[in-house]
Amino acid sequence: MAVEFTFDFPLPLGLHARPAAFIQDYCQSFSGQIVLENKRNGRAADPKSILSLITSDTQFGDPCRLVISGEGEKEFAASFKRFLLEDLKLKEEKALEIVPSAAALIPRLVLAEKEIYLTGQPASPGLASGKTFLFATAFDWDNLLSEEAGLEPFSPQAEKEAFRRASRQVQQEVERLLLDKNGVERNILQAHLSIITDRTFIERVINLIDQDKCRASRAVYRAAKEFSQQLLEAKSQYLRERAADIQDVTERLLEHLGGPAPIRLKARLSQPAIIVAEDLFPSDFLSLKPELVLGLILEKAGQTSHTLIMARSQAIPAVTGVDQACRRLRAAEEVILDGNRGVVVVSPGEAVRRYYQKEMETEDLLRQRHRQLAALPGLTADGQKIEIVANIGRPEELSKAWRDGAEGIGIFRTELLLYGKSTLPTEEEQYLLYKKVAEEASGRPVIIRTFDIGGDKPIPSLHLPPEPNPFLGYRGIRIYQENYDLFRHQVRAILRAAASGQLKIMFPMVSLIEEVRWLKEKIAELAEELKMEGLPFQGRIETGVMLEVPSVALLADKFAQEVDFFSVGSNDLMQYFFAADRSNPKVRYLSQPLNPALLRLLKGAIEQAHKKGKWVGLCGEIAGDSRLAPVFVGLGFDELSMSSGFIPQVKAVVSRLKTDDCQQLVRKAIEAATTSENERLLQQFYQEHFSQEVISRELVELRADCRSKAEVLQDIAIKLQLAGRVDNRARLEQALWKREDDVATDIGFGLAIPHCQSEAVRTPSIVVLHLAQPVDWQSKEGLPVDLIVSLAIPAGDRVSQQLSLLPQLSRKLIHEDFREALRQAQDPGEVVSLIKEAMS
Amino acid sequence: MKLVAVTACPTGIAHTYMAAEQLERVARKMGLSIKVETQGAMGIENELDPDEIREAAAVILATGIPIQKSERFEGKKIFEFSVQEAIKNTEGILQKVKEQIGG
Repeated sequence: MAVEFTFDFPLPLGLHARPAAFIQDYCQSFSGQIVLENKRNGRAADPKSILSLITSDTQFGDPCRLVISGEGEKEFAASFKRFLLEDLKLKEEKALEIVPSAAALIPRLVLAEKEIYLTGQPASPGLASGKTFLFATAFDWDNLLSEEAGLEPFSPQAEKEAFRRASRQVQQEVERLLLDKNGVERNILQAHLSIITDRTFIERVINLIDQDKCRASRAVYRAAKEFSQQLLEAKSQYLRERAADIQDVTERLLEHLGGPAPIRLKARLSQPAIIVAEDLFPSDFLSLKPELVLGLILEKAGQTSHTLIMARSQAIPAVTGVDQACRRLRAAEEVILDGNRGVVVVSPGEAVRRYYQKEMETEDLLRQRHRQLAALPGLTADGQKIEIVANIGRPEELSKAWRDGAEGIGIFRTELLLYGKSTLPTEEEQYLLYKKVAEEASGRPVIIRTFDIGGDKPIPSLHLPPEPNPFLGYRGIRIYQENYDLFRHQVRAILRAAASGQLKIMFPMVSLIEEVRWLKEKIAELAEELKMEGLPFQGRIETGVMLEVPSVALLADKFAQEVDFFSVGSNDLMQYFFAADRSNPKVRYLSQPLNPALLRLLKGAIEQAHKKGKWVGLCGEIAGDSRLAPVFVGLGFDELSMSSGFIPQVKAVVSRLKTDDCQQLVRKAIEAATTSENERLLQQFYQEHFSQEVISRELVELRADCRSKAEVLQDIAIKLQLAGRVDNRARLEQALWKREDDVATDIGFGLAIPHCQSEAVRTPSIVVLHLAQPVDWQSKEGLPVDLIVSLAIPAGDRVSQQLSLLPQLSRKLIHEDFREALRQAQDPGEVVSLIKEAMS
Repeated sequence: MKLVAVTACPTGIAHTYMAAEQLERVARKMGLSIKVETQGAMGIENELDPDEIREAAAVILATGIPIQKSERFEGKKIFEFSVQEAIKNTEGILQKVKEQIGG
């Protein structure tokens, strides 16, 4: 006797890996037979096997039948039914609450269209659309299959035994690892465990050994390949992740079976593509032709890794922290990489393509504006000179730097010249290169930072021993004494090249006065050498140090007697000051440029340097954050050096600042206790000094071609960013959606008022759209909307003049004659006057 | 008949004021006297004083969030609606209030 019942599959995302694992787990306690039959597609599945369950392709609402037989079948059937219809849904809802990556902003349309997407952190802004290229770490199934050991005669018994033994070993290995893991890692390991013990998987392997006379390793490959391909083809996020798990388990099994190690691909890039890699060393990156790199999708690269710094400087969009990207993406797969939001969309459909088409057009417009701003001088509104200069790693970046409006080079990171080279460059090679840089700068100052090797920057041609804490170890100038020739050749090359232009020399990782004295003594010696040799050179070269170790900041007055200038390396300084590894995402929150402790440190150091008549620059990543420019001006920085792409925006902000206002801001900021207090101070600063009218012509569009609510909200965000009122349109769009989620903002009469308070907004703003065709606002009533009046307010704004006038506008919108006047307007200017009038 | 009302919504920049305007406008048309307090991003405006509350036949709360100073209305006849409803169906809710307090 068997018991059966029918039900409709209750989970909106279908029967994917996670619920399958829950079901498998639940059924283990029952010793009898269970069969799940999907009546829509006629497939049958074994609920005790995850793989069997997920390959049944069961979707939301599919009619299913369960047949249960064995001891205690009645009781089990009753409890299983309850589990399926109630508990499973709760478990699934709870699991879905965990957001994959908090930093990613997934466009609503991507979710609504049920696209497959991967998330990570935005790492270099911009968008790319193209085919993927798996770099270095792909799992090459076909190559694995072509390998055949076959030394001993084939015996199915021996092969099966070998497979069981390997399975047991892997199972024990994973169980041991499970003991001290938690969170995500634990979930992944548990998933691995469930595959090793999966009945369908085991049966398939045994079957391949028996029927196809496969050796154990080959049978494991084949079974794994079959399942993972099935999963990769599915249009489901979770199944792709499961494919990655299968590959992982396979690797472990193979290791124990003594089969060939998985081959890591390192093919050559011949066509423009989006690179997918676990991590890219700077040397890997430099080995690729920049014009073929459309974008980067990385699993592990830190935000301040040199690869990402280079990507930003070359305007190559990138997303990092994309879990298992190499396994979840296939080679030559069509993707859209959204470096603004930290999202990768796989083979998107029409609506999402249209959305991204518009995003890409916006990027083009932003680039045009960028060029106009690049031409501004580095001057504050009250005429204070702030030199705005560029960071470079290779001479090839110079032309882009000048194009972006750099007034010089604030740091030329010479160690990048060493990557991908098997030997160290000679003095002559370096001389020619620095000379070329000096000449191309045509009179603009160029600061050459001597080799900063060690830390996260290993150099193959220099055999430095590995260390447990490389960032706190043997790096920068610390290695110069032992590797004296490296130092000698470089300094001689710089001194010689300095005869051809305005070169300055800067040293990394200085922490003691004695070090500076040693360096200067050696420079003098080397200059003497050159003089004796009769080579042309410039002996009087400005000499500076990186300010990246807190000891230099606290003793800046003494250092200022020894050097000509300082340049703050903010990434390293924060890492050493807050004792937080900059490459560890778990302590990334400690990277706080507005922290009052850090501001005090910097203010003190800059004051001391200025007293001795020495100048101080900033060449860390944060220099490029235009929002922080008032703080840097207020601190007294004489120079800001950044990835050149940021120069135009920083110049634009600096040109509107008054030194007094900025100094006042910093005086308050160093008295704060927390970074968030300073965030608020900065916001207030912008409201006080950058306030604008709430509306302008560019914020109005008549007969707008938006085909959905999603496109309306996108359009609002785009208009605000193009008008320079919003820093990050992706965040604004998200904020508008969040408000719509509470209750849709249509108020009847064909009018919707999407609005938000968001940190992305610089100044209160109103956008008005009159649509060519009404759209469905996705509200309860489902009425069409053709008139949109959107309000965007800076977060925390409770005070501004513009805000206090919004209520009047809101009240006015209730009146039909006002709405009709907006609808009848023939020209954006009319709408602007109507809105202004309503608010006066 | 005298009524008082409070409007408030999560962001406090739009619905609060639209609902207030709509309540005032439609009440006037229906021959009702109403005073509407707004609790928005600008704080409390057009605040109801104790006398006005005492004299009112009923209190209308058109809110999407908990309001401030709700203790003022203890013991009063209170009608609660969403802000959206107060904008979209103003006449309907005023009619309902009128009927229930026997106006």
